[in-house]
Amino acid sequence: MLTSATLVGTLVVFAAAMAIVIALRPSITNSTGGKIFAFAALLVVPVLAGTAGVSEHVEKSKETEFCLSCHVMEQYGKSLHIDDRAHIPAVHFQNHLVPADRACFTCHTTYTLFGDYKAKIHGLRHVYVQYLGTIPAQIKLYEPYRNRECLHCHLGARSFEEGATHNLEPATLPAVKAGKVSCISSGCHDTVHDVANLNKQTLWPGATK
Amino acid sequence: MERGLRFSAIFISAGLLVELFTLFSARPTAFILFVGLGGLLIAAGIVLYLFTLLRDLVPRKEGTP
Repeated sequence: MLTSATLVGTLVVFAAAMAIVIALRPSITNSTGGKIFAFAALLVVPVLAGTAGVSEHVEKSKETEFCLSCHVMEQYGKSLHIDDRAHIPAVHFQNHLVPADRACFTCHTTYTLFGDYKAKIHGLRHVYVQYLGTIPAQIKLYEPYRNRECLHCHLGARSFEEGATHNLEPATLPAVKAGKVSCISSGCHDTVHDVANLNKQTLWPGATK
Repeated sequence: MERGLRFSAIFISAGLLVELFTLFSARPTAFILFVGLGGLLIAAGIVLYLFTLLRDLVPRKEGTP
């Protein structure tokens, strides 16, 4: 099956082949056709290939494998395997309520290199800290977790709209939807990546990621 | 001019090869190498190509090689 990476790879190989022709036979640029070829080989096609490659990498940064490739994220990856339905990320991951191969990005949309420019700068800073800086003992979110990430899927869902606890008080549901009451820190769904107690947890062996 | 074009093409093909080797990896280091090394080599090649073109367009003074 042709993947986007294969297509981009083909474009890069094609671009490299064109540039190599110029490197081996620069004299072909003496003719008009050769000048046009050189313009394509040394400017247009490399720019296209480079842009397509960056786009491919940005797409890859959404993958769970990408996030968990940093040592500091290993514990967070393990927390997706906790065998306890009270653990929100684990239950989402194990039941494929989020795509397993894009688990991190689905709930942390402002992270990795895929978010806005601020997220991209944060992403680059993470790479810097990973290899050259000091990794903090405890990782914290840049800003409080937003309900938007939950409502992206749950808004309009019957289990959310008609949930008994959500409708216990008439003001609860509107407050959650408005982001005034946090889904995860209001004593409701507050067990998230409990990495501090990971050793005490039973892990579900079923998944490989 | 041919010398400039040759070096430009070498830079660009080297950059593209770096990009090819790092393209299929889903690791942050691959992205950094892709942009930091591959992108830099390509950019250097393109700048050299444009500089070579520009230098060829500017009329030379008589007596200069």
